[in-house]
Amino acid sequence: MAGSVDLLQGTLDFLILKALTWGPKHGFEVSRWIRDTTDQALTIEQGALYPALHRMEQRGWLEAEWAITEHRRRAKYYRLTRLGRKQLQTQDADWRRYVAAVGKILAAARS
Amino acid sequence: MGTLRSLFRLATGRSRVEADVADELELHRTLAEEELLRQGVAPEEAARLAADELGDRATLSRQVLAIDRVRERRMRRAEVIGKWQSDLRLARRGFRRDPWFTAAAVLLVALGVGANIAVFSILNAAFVRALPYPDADRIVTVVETRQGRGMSVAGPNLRDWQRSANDFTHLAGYYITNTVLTGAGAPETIATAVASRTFPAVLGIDPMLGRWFDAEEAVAGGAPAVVLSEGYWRDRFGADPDVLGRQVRVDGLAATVVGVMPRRVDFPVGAQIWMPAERWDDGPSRTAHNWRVIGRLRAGVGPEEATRSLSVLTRQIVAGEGDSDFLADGARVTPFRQTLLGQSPRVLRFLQGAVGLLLLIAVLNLTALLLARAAKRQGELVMLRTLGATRVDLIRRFVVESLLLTAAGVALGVAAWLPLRAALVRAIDRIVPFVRTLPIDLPFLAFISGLVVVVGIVAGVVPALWAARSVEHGSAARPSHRIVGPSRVLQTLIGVEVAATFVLLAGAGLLSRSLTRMLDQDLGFRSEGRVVIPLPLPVDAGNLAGDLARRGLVLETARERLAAIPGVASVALTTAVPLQGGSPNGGGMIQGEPSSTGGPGATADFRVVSPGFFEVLGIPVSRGRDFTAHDRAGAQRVAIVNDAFVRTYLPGGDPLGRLVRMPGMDIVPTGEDWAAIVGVVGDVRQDGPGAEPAPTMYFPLGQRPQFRLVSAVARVDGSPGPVLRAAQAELARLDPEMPFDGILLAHALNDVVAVPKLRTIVLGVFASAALLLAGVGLFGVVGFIVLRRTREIGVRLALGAPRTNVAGAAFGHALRPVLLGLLAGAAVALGVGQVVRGFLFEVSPGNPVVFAGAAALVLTTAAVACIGPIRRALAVDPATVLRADDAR
Repeated sequence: MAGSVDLLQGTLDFLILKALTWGPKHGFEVSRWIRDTTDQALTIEQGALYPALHRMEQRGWLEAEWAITEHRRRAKYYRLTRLGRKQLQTQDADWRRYVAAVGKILAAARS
Repeated sequence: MGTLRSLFRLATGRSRVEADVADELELHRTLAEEELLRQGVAPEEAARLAADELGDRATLSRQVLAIDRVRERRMRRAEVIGKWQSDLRLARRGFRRDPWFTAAAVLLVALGVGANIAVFSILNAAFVRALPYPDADRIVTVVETRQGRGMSVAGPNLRDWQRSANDFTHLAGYYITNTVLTGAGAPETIATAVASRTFPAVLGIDPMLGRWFDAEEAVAGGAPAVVLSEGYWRDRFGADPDVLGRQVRVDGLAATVVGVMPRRVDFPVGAQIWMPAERWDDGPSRTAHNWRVIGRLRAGVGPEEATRSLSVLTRQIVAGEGDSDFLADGARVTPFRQTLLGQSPRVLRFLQGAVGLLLLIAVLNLTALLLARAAKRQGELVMLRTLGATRVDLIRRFVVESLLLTAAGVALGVAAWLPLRAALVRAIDRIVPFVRTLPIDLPFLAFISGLVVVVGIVAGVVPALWAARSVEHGSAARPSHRIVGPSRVLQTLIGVEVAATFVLLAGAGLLSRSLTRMLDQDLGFRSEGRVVIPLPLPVDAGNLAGDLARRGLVLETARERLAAIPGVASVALTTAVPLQGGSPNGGGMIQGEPSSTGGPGATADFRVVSPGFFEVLGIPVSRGRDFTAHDRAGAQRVAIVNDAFVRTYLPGGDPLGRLVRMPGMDIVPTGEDWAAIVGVVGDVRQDGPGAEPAPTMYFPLGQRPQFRLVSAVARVDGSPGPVLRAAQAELARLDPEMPFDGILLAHALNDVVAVPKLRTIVLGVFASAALLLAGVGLFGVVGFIVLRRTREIGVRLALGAPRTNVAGAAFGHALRPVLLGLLAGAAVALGVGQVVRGFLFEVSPGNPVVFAGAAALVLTTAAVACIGPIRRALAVDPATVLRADDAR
């Protein structure tokens, strides 16, 4: 896992929300989506994923349902709620602004 | 309820949530392991890495579980609240659709609980609220006893107790009397407490201003001083902070104001000023029971223990006093609250019983109304059940409706009680005089909420259970056809309700009959058109004999001036105005009888009157003559006795000319020689209705001048108002320091019967309310029963039964529970009658007239309630009923 960075506080929530934009996923799928999408640049800290998922479920951003996977296993699938989608929009906008700002700073530093 | 639910979760919920979390985490581990194996990692290494990905499993699942539990609790709560909210919404909608039912139910509850709220507020103030004294449970009342009977305490005994009783930190004697206070505005008769120097220490309350009496004041012949009550200080001295040091005259004695006691002391109840008891040396007699005594127990000592030790001490101090019927042989120590309450617990318990019955009736009524409503809505309920509502859902709906109605009713009851509070305090002044405010405190609020919950649930649960059961019985396929009727339950309700109503009615009837008897009773004197004017004169303690002569002159002048007032037909003077209490008695002697030679005394009331007294009050002189102006000092001593005296002590012989005397009644012994009986007069019920006339000796004021309070009584032609005003002006001219407290004798009579009257009115109001409630309830319930029999009535009519027969059967059916209720009520009323016997006057607790009247009232009400529904049922075309039934 060389080259990976630790997640900033609050980033995990955003990544989970983003992961679920493409439909319901169970916890393992969420973790692999994040890893694969970032080309293994971002990994989730040991034991941080499931508390985050359950906390977001408690806040009403996600709702969960037990279903059978394609390999006939019982899994808990998470799905975005309306509240979760709204949360994603807000965080998405915030992140874009943040990334743009940091990008400008980095550009300025090089010249 | 919450505990039950968490137990439930413990049994089922937790394991499921835990298993889910374990499954979820295990799946992650399995998938990760499989992924690693696919990538060609060695199995042992794959297993280690996969487990590592999640970190410490135990910590993780604890963390996740904690989050889930919070979520679950919130969800459950939201679900429960949601159900109640939707029930509330449904109930409100239902009530809006049915405004008459709603109004009737709310009013009914308000009527039923209103009286309970009022009575509870009194009970709360009297029994529950803490007394306003520090460590009040250590304050006790102490009496001397002889053979177990309590007596006031003799001065020397009190002083010995104060010196030697170990169980008390302080003991204080007191009594309350009237004095005339002058030197602070118009002269005024005020309630004066004479109390020991230890009095504030017993109660644990110091003066708010100035001080209590010091050693120089609280001693025989000490510097005269008074302490004012806060109320009197505010009313009379405008709360003047510089009042200390002011001079006032109390019964002519110049005294200095040294302190002001805060309002919360209010003991002895009604006291306006205090004076030191130690100023008056009441002599060495241990049989002169002058003092009431309160004490403060040492911490840890109970009343029983103190009673034992004080009894021993009392026997020691009276040893060697010889024996007398009036000498103590023990003492008794009782909690102070009992003294404050006095006779009131009996009256309050009686009120409590009455309002309790009223509440019962209201609850039964609400139950019946809800039950009838439930029966009407059976179809709707069956449908709800079919649509998946659980039994619990149905029951909850009913309870919510009932709670809502009850809450509205209780709110209305409280709203009605609030503005009546002040009037209520005034009305109960004679019953619990120390209750000055009715607080809205924690116990009161608890009671109110308790009322809502208890009434709401009790009234709601029976209809709910019935509805739930009937829904189970009634099949969804054939709604509202042949469903078990609520008749049995309803009939029981009616029976109990009728019984309770009958008890209240009978009670009210007994009391009002006994009040009538009381008011009709011949008191032996006339009160209408008679005015009473007390003539309080100060005592010149330094020259008693001279003062006595002066008093005679002043009183005679006053009498003459009053007699000259236009409208006054006649005036006389007396020491014993009827209905004003305070007629002393003593051991009289009759010459030639054992009482004159050391035998038992001829105990008789002692009264001193002027000529014309009997004529003024309309007391018949049956033999001999009245006193005349010639019966004065120096002339032959004379006396008049009443019929009771003759009956008791001189039966058979001729009383006229017999010689009698009444020793020991005068401070200055002037008239203790033998006096000849010159007349016999009718008996007088001195203390009002119900008081047996005592043997009485009358002496002429001219021969026996008195330091006692003498009053003028006058017979007035026409309106007494102007006479009283003129009398006030005349007396002010005669003695500007004499307060004027003239009243109508008829008012005094009203005061005497005020408590029985209040009792009767209160119970009468309750009984009327009960009858009204029962009427409403019967109307609704009987109507409902008849309605359910409409089909049967239709069938019988169709089969040709005569209308009168059918109507009669319907009546009988509806009235049967009423009759059973009456029987039960009569039995209960007979039992209750024994309890209220003490309140009854010349009426037996099972008075047949009262019982018959009450029964007739209930029956009439029930019959009237039946007529409408039965007529409606008879008017229905039988064919319609049958067709309607087929159509179902």
